[in-house]
Amino acid sequence: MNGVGACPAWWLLLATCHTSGEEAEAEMLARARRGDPSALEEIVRRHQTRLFNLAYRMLRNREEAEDVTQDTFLKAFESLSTLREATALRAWLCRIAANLCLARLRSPAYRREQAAALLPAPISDDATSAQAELTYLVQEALAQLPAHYRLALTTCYLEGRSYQEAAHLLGVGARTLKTRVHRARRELRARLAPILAERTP
Amino acid sequence: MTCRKVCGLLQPLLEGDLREPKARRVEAHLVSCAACRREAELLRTLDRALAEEPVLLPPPELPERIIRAAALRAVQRRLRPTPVWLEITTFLGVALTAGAATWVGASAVARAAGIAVGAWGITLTIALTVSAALAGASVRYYQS
Repeated sequence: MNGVGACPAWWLLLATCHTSGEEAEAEMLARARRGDPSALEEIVRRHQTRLFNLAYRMLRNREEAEDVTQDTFLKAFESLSTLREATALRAWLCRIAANLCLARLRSPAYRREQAAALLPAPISDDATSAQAELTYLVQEALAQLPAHYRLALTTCYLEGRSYQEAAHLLGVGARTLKTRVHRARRELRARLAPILAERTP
Repeated sequence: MTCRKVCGLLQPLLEGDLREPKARRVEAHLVSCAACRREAELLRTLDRALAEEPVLLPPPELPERIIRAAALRAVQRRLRPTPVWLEITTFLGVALTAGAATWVGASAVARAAGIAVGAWGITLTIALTVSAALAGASVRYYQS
């Protein structure tokens, strides 16, 4: 894994801000429901980065993340008519992607592959080697967390540490999400403390 | 403030959720306690590592790939090939009706009607076969 295709976290916020008003969103959804390819493509372009990153952080595999992103949109496009409000699209897509990730993590085939494969090397262009190593250690520890904790923590950080937003995207209460994130963090801390203590002089 | 209590408040402090004067008391404790300082540093390091993971850009061709796959699904749904049993029954049913009408009907009108129905049945069967072949071809086209 190299740094190509990586960008800073503010990019995701920008990608969200670029979505225009609710009316435009509703109009786009209406066109998408009629099967207008340009509207479908617009939906993909607006939401793919968030979904791709969510899937990547859950599965730590680029191809798997691409597959999950694609399957999410295909699944969503098939039942666009069941979506009532255009404003709910983002959260709806996130939930589909999250469920697909959880299903993959549960599948025996995926588990066998994971057991055989090593985690990808850290991805960051400008990171110093120490930082890169730390990121790697955190990713490795993250991969060992229970899937629901990992999902909560990943979504929370992907949304700029916003518990509220992450809870909205995953369709759980803010309190539930906060509890999961805290537990996830506590487990990560417990796993990483001995390693980090060794590294600190 | 005990170390145990301070450790429980470190994460809220880090997230800016701790109000005064509690925050100041925790900070004061950190100045004097090396163990809690290390714990705070550990949490900060962890938080930074999680927050600084770069956002990856999906491959540029992904939207096009998804739209093609969606179009393929739509084609597969709409042009599901007609089952062979339906073609055969249609053909047999129409042919039998036409044959019976031709045989039974003595008049030229009945015979003409029978031939017309027979011709219609054959045309329908050919149309079903062609549409099934077209559906297969479209699916293959989108897959390629």
